[in-house]
Amino acid sequence: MRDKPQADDLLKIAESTFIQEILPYIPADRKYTALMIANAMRIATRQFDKNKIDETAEIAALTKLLGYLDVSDDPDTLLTLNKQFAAAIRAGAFAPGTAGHSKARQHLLSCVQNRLAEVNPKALNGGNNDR
Amino acid sequence: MEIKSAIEGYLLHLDEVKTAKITDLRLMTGGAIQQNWLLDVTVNGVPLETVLRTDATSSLEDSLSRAQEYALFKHAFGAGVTVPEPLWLSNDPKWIGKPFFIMRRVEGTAAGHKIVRKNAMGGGHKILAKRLGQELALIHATKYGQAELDFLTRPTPNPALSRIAEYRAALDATDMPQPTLEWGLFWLEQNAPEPVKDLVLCHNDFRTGNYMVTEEALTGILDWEFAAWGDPLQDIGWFCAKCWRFGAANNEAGGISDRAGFYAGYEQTSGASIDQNAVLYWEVMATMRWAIIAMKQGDRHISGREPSLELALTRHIVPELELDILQMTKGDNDA
Repeated sequence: MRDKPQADDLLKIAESTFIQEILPYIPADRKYTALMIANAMRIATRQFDKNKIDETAEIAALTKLLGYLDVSDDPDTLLTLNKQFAAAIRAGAFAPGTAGHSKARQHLLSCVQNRLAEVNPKALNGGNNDR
Repeated sequence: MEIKSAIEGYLLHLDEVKTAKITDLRLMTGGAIQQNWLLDVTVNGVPLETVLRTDATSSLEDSLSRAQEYALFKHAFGAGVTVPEPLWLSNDPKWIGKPFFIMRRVEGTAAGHKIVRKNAMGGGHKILAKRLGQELALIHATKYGQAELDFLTRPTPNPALSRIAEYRAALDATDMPQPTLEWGLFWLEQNAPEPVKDLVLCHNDFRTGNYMVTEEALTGILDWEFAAWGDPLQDIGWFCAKCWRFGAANNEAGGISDRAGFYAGYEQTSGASIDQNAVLYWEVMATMRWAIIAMKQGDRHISGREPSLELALTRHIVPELELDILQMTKGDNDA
């Protein structure tokens, strides 16, 4: 058993300490790099906080969209289903006017929003759309 | 310094140069693709402020060689486009070990974040937007068929479909499936415009961040290495796409102004009118293009070929672009 504090807690405190105590002393020509370091730490912290994107729900949604009866127990299920979903989209199986179009679009939207919540929550509100 | 005497040697071997003395030489930016050196040199007694541009160690597929870039600068300068004046080109590796060219240095900043936040740039954002529209129209005035630019690629079978094929190939080359990008590409295929009658010279990276500007005026259009023949609207879509507004999303022309001013400058110089709906198609294409580039950049880090924090973070821009794509391609019946 690991002792506390662990990765999530350590990252969070390292990031806030870096921002408060180190960043003000970083020379101007290294500020961009310093901000990138802080950003990477924030993304990692959020990924721990959210305890991973709900992959079970994504698998269930994809299984339904693709019209399968059972959820596969293949360890790479999510990857396999996404590959099949991507190929089906390219082939036009979810074109406007098809039965699955609207549900497929909603699924994509919710997956994108889940990932954005981790990597750039500001962009979820249509706000900051820059690097 | 070895490179200093090599450059002086190069200049002195030119017929028109009798004396050459370098007074300053510094690496300005060490990009992944090119290196730019600040070069101050007194030639025949006349002080010149220039930039020497050469290859970095790694070169990016699809980008032009320095000699081709020099030919483009020459052409654009002659056509009245605001670009740094190209002065000399050397293809001979004997001077600094690789090809290079020297151009006059222009003043100002290219930093997108600064430019969108400070209205007093380029004589004011409105004036700047109109001027950029005029510049782009001047670039597009070069029609397909110029012998001196015959190295530029011609899209087959047409600008939209060639990009769709290229981006699908890029998706096929990665391990991770990208259903949202496939969704966008399907939309782009279904909504592809009729091919344009006349292909024109497209800059292909004409956006805020790639031009130099002082408080008073635009001083230079930079970054020509992706230029190719294409549909003029692809440059307009790239300039206006939300992903290139540097956070100033409401200023739809490059984060600096509304579209009207930019379009007016373009229309005035080109004599053509811009179809806003047709531009929207190319904005979806622009967002897709940036997503594919960001994905490829991320792969350079992920694969271990080029470990880099910047490349790693660039990969995480993709979901923002995917959200833009889903919003832009939303149909009338979509929730």
